[in-house]
Amino acid sequence: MVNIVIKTVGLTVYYGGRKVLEDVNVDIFENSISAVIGPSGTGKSSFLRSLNRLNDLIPGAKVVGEVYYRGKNIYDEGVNVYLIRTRIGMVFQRPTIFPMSIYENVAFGLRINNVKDEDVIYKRVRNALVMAALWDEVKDRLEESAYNLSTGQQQRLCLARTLAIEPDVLLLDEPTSYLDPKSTKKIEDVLLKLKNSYTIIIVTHSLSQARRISDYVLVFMPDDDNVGKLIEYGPSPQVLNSPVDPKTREYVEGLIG
Amino acid sequence: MDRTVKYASLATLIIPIAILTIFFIQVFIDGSKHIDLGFILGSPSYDPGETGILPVIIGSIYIVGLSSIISFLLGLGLSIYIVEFVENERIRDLVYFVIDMLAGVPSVVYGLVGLGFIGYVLGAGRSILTGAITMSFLILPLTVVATLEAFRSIPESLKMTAYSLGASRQEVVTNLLIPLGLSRALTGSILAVARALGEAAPILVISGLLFTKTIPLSLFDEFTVLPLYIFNLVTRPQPIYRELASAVIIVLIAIFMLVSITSIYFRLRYSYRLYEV
Repeated sequence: MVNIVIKTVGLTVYYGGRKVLEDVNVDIFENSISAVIGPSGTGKSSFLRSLNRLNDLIPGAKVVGEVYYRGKNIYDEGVNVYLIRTRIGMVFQRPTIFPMSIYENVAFGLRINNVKDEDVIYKRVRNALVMAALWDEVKDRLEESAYNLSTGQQQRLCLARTLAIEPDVLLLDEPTSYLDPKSTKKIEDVLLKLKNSYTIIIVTHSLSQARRISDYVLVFMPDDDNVGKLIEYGPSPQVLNSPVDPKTREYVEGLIG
Repeated sequence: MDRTVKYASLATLIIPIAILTIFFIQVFIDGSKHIDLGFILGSPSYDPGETGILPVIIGSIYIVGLSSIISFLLGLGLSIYIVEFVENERIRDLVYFVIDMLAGVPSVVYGLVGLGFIGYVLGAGRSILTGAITMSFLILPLTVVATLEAFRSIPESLKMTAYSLGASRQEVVTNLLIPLGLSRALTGSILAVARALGEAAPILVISGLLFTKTIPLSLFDEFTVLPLYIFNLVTRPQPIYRELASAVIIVLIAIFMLVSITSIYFRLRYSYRLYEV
């Protein structure tokens, strides 16, 4: 039996009173990569942001329904949001680099979370950079500004920064959409390795990326009122090769989206 | 037609620069011959040949230094509050409106309120403390604009990233906004410092002192400032006083340039690029 890490029940998201995502019920399994696909504006990013309560920070956003992380509803009263966000880490679409050194970028989350011992910080920064396949490229220039890195390296730096706080789940919001194929492959290779110890949910605009790395696929589609819905979900080969829903079939055959 | 507009706009650029240049040259010619160590380090005297301005310089440094620090801290707190903690748009707009109003209040009114409230009601008297606190409120709109601009320039995406790493609001403020915004806020506040250095009216009301031989030491001492002393000198009929006023103006400009250069140094030293990402 595979463990369910995240389970959503009736998850619905509003922005300023407008419903963008309705009634998502899905189980995310441990040590797997789940790809979230679908046309633009179907609430894929909103879905992701509901899973670590980042929607809380967006003015006018409202989340209804339940999100269970390892059996506990993260929207319950009294839940420590900050702790949840350190367990469920996130990487954004564009590299979000702090105007600091490479080292301090990765150490940032540790300092925020009150890790004081510099030796511990160094070890965790190093480990995170190794896991993100960036260590060899930056080990001799950790004190340099992170802006000196290429976009692909910056995105791996963001991944390392998230890994440094040792989360359990990784949320990635189209992390390779600004990267060239070579950098994309590097990130994908890293994710395939990380799968052994993390649960990964990745929003992607690329069907071929979903094919290459995902174990499960979640297909989001707008309904007639332009509200995003999860119309199909299951193991990748099944959803991508023989989808049940006609809309999914049109989408994976490249007819819509 | 196009040419007319072009030359007219060129004239609006050249005329003020020309007037200022002529003014500076005149001031320099009149004043420079009076500037020596005795003038800078001496005390005002009824003998114009013997006069110095050390107590006045000290008074100005006290007022500008204290009011800049108080005002900057107030501006910093207010901006952080507005940027990070006010969620209601209306309240934010109200705060902006009040700041605009404050900027429009004549400076002499600040002087009267400062003297009445801080000087008499709170009992600080016609002292440096009263002057500095009053001045810090007078320049507050300028420091708020500078600090607000600095914090607003920090991209939302960087704040989101910090939150996604488990940061609380307070940690975003202390670990991200302040370290990233501080140097920009400081250099942006230079206009406020210039204003504090140049204001005479509120100090005239508060201190009332046009002439003093005593160097102010404690916060509760009487004092006067450079612009007020200039005012004192130019109201006298003899031409020598006009020259002395020019000398004081040169000192005033020199102090301002020193502050500017320091601020530019800090900007270059601690500048960084912020990408909207």
